[in-house]
Amino acid sequence: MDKLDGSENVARVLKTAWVYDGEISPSAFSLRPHIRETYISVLRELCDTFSNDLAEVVHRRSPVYYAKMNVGELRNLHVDTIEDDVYFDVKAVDNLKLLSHSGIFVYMNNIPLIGGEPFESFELKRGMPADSTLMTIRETLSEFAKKSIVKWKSEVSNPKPSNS
Amino acid sequence: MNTVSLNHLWSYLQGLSLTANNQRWLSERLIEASTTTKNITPRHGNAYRKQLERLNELASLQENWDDDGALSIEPQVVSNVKDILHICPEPLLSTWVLFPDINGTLLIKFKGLHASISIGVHHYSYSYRKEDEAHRANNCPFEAGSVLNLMNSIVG
Repeated sequence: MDKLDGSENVARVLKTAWVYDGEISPSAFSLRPHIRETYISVLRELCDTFSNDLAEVVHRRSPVYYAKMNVGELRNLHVDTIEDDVYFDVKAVDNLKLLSHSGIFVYMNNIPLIGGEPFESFELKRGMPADSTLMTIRETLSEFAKKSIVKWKSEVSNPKPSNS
Repeated sequence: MNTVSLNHLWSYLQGLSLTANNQRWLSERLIEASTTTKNITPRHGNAYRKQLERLNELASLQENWDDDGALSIEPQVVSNVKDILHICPEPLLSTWVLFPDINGTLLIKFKGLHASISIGVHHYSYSYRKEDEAHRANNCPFEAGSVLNLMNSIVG
């Protein structure tokens, strides 16, 4: 997987449930445990297919919001986790449908985090509170993402049929 | 009851054929009731109403509310947050927002701060940063008063 240049911006599409009263839910930056997610999906703004990919992701042609994040700034984000060294990286991730698809990878002590591991006992159990270290990581990303929220509306007038 | 209503009630009572014993009995019951009634002032501030509305909205989320397999919010988690709302002062209620989390829990996110509390069925976890110092803990036994103390530490 190719690392993105620090000058690039990536977009994290924000679901309705993730945005409220001017805040972004830290859940928007979870590595989902039930699918052992290894990265947080984003789209590269520079890509020619960005707009089409965005429309494909949201399955509709209506205004949506996304968090615009600079790759270089993401890599320099400090995560105050007390004992552990946490950092982020952004790489292109192959996807047949979405050519601009990329991922935010999270590393703890140089080991990539995977959803559900190693905090399996917290994340996988229904009704259990989130692990506090993961909360710190998600908090850092959600506060960073809040700096630039973009409202995007497709210019295509005819809705594209959903494939799902 | 306002003064007019009370005067009407008094006129009515005077019109009844109450013996002296009846009157003493009635007065003793009223005095007893006035000393045992808990003066619970319901919270009707705007912040409380807004938070309760938000909580009810999240409580009604169905399974797979995010189209990615998220679980509906656990009823006990909703009840726990309701307990917090009941004791949280109005000004403090305005400092945070509620979000659903994917495993049936609720997240309290403090506005503009690196601070959040995850409310589970029996426990809560938190992470916040204050004066360049990080604070966090996992699986604290849930008690609304403890969460309120934590909130005061975060915001205060």
